[in-house]
Order: sequence, then structure tokens, then C-alpha cells
Amino acid sequence: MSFLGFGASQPQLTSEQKISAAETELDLVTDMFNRLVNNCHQKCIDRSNYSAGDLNKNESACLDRCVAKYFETNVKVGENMQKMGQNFSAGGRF
Amino acid sequence: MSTFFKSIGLSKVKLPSKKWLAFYTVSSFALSGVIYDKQQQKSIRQNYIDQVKDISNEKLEINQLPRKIKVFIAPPPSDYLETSLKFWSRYVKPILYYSGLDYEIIVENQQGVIRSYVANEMRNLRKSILDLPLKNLEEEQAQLKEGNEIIKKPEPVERLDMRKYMGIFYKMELPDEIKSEDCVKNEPELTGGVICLGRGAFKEYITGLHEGLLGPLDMPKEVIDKAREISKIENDKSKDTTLQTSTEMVKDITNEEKTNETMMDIPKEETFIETIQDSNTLVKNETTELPSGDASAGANEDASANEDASANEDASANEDARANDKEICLPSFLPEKSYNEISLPIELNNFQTTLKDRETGLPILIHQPIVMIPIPNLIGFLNIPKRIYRFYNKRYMCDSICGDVTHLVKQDTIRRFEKGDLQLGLEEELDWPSRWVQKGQDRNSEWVNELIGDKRVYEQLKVINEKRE
Repeated sequence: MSFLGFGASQPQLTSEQKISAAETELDLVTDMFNRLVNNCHQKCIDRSNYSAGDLNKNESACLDRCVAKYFETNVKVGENMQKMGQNFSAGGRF
Repeated sequence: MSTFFKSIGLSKVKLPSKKWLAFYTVSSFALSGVIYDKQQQKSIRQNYIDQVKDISNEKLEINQLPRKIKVFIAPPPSDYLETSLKFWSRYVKPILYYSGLDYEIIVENQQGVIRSYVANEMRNLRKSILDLPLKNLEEEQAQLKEGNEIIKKPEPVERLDMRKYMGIFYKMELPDEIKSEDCVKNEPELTGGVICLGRGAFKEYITGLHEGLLGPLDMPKEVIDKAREISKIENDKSKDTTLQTSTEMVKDITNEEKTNETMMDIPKEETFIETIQDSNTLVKNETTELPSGDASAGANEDASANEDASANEDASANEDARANDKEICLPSFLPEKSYNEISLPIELNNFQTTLKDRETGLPILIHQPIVMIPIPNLIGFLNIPKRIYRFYNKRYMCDSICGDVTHLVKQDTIRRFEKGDLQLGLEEELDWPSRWVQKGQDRNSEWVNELIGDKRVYEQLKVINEKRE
């Protein structure tokens, strides 16, 4: 986080570093996806209503909203973390 | 009283004094009136919900989107947006929720926001038919500022689409193009739906439709010049005197965006309701840089992909200053409203075919049925007896509102729009405070003007409300 403040552009990565960056990205995205599926399944799909295998409209809409809220929470928390991070680095220099 | 008790054998019982009895009687009347009314409202609401619940148990395919209803909410005059939102969340929203429909809310805090939105949609539709580049509201607003700042769209970065490999899609194919379930319906009036909460919202919706369909595609020069003039005057004046607001100078224009005073006449810090963003602005917010670098950029992509399928609901309520900035109110492209002189644009093809939105394939707003829900809201000290009467009789209003929304959900009372339907909800205007109306007439603001409709446009509309005589 902090070293990006110095360079004007992205730091030049070697191909190895690029591969490892892509790997970590994939890991993170997969992790987030799995969490998202678990979370929304828990919240939206009623345990007592397994009389049909298809999703009905209520559950569909609930899943849509769950995903939207999850991402919005993600974004908001990320923004706050970024602000905190800036405060930390500014405080560290003094 | 005490002799009565003696005669039935309860000689030891003593009633409280006459004054206490009077107090208990009055207070129990008041309380029981409220409790009865609230109980009745609950049962009425539950009744309508039960009528609608079965729709939510129907199956929805993986690659289908549910029917989407657009809700336009305007605050009552001289009052906060929250009053309207109470009507929305108590009477309209439960029925929409339990029916499993998707809804999108468009709110406004100043006059003209809804009109700008609707007119822009119509204009973009016409541009897409003519294969011209589309413009969103921010770009139109940028034109009004001095020295055309061109908003640079962030260039799309080539990224690996992770969605192809997530979860079961590692082995399975992604589903086909996600379409709304409304696309396969034959009659356009059975698709979607529009709810206008408030007479102001209804007026703005209708004028927005006319402006978008009959008006010019680009902002006419006179309008841009006028708007720039107004903002110049505003800037100069604000440098000279601090006390004089710009409202005294603003006369005889139709756009309210340049006035500091919102129609509620309250300082800006107090309008605390977040406006609803449609999917465009929500996606834009998510392209901000996050500290975790690449991983979150991947998340942004997923978010933008999922936004297409997600319901947009109003989330936080604490973004005061930002809320006012996000609302974009453009001046009317057709200030004179001379609909008779303008001929119907060729691209609309005289409405012979149902016009469909390019991206989603759904018939555009003009074909979707409208429900107009008046918001009776009396304010003022002298109106207190009337307000008490209305407070104790809210169940009738609940019944009518829930009934209208249920008709929209079940789609059973759709009829053509007639000239008399322009007066839908006129009874709400009787509640508007006269001083506010007077101010509005002096300023020539939109809501107090009579609603004019052009036959060629409004005969295409469909309504759900009952006929007005």
C-alpha cells in the first residue's frame, strides 16, 4: 500500500511476480465468491421450504439483494480502510 | 354509583372521583381509537399481502430477471422526503416485497429531478434508434457549466473474466444471456410498471415523457445560455452580499436547480435522505481505487456484472451533502410546452410498433402501466382538527393505496389513459399550503403549473387507477 505513493506509475513487475499476483488475485476472488455463496444461502433460502428444487421469485430477488449488499459493504469497508491507511502513513512520517 | 354497587353486593368497591373518571374515559377513547386503527391497517395489509403472495412462489429461471417496477417518489410540498417515504415503506413496499417483484426507486429532493430522468431516458431511446451516441445525466449537466468540461470515461482495462471459473462454472457453461422474464410477453402493458407517489411526481413524470419524446435531442442553445446566465448572476451576487439568496432574482425560469432554496424551504443539511442510484451511478462508485489493489479490482468487475441482476434499494440515510450533489436536475428542453406545434419524431414511427429498450429488450416506460398514489399531507396549526380526524382514519387510505398497488401487481385493471386522467390525484393539491403555492406561482415552478398533455403521447399510456368522472 505504502510504496505505491512514491512511484508515478505501476512498479514494473517481472513475469514471475505477475504470475504470483494473478494467483493471489484468483485466490482472493474465489474466497470472496465462496463466502458470498455461503452467506447468501444462509440468509435467503429458508431451511423449511425444500419442496421444490427450483428457486422461486422471492428467493431470487433475495439473492440479488444479498449480493448487492455484500459488494456494497465490501466497497464501503475498503474505502474506510483506505482512509485509515492514509492516516497511519501520514502519522508514521511525523 | 356507590348505591348501585351496594345493591349488587360489592359494597367495598369505590370508584375514583368524577375528574379521574373523566380523564380515564377520554384517554381510553383516544388510545383505543389509535389501537383499533392500527390493528385494522395491519389486517388490511395482511389481506392484500395474502392475495399477492402466491406470485412469489412461482419459479424463476436462473437466466431470468423478475418483473421490475419503477417507483418515483417526490416529497410533499414544504415537507421532508421522509413523509413520502413513510407512505412508501408502510403501504406500498410490503406488497411489492411479498409478491417477489423487483423494484427500483427514484427519489428527488428538488423539483425537476424526476422529469430530467424520464426525459433523458426517452431521449436516449430515440438516440439509440437513430444510432447516435447516448448521454447520461452527468454529461448533460456538464454542458451547462462554463467551458465544456468533458467527463473522461475511465478506459476499460482488459481483465481475465473470473466469472468463467468461479464455483461450479469451472466445469459448467455459464448461463445464456440474462433476460427479463418480461421479454417474452406479447402485450407491452403486462410488462413492468410505474408507481408515482405524489402529485408532483406524477406531473413530472408526464411532463418528462412529453419533453423526452417531443422535445429536441440535444440541449437547445437558449436553454444553455439562460442557465449559464443564471449561474453567473448567482456567483456574482454571492460574492457581493451574503444575506441575499439567489431566489429573489430567479424568476420566470422553469429550472429549479440553480436556486439555493429547495422546494421544501429548508436548509440543505436537513435533507438527509440518500437518493437512489440506478445501476449506472452505482457502477461508477465502484471503480474507485481500493487499497488491496488487484484483488478488489476483480471484485469491482464482479460487482458491476452483478449490478445488472440486482435490485436497487435505498441503503444509507446519512449522506446529506452528497445526496444533493447526486441529484441531477436539468432544465426543460421544451420550456414553452408548445406540444401542438411539434410533430411526432420520425423515429418513434407513430408508435406503431412497441418501442423497446436496446439493452434489456423491455418495452420502454411509456408502455408500462402507471399507478398514481396521492399523498395527502396537511401541515399547519389551523389544520390540526382535520389532521386529527385523518390520523384516526388512516385505514381507509391504507385500503385504497394497498388496493391500487395490488391491482398493479396482479395486472387486472389496466385501461387506456384518457384526458381526464391528467387530473389523477388532484385532491392532493387541495392539501398543498397556499403560501407555498403562491411562491411557486411567482417563481413559475413546475408543480403549480397545470398538467398539459399531448394526445399523441398520452393515448399510448396505460393506467391502473379507477376512472375519474
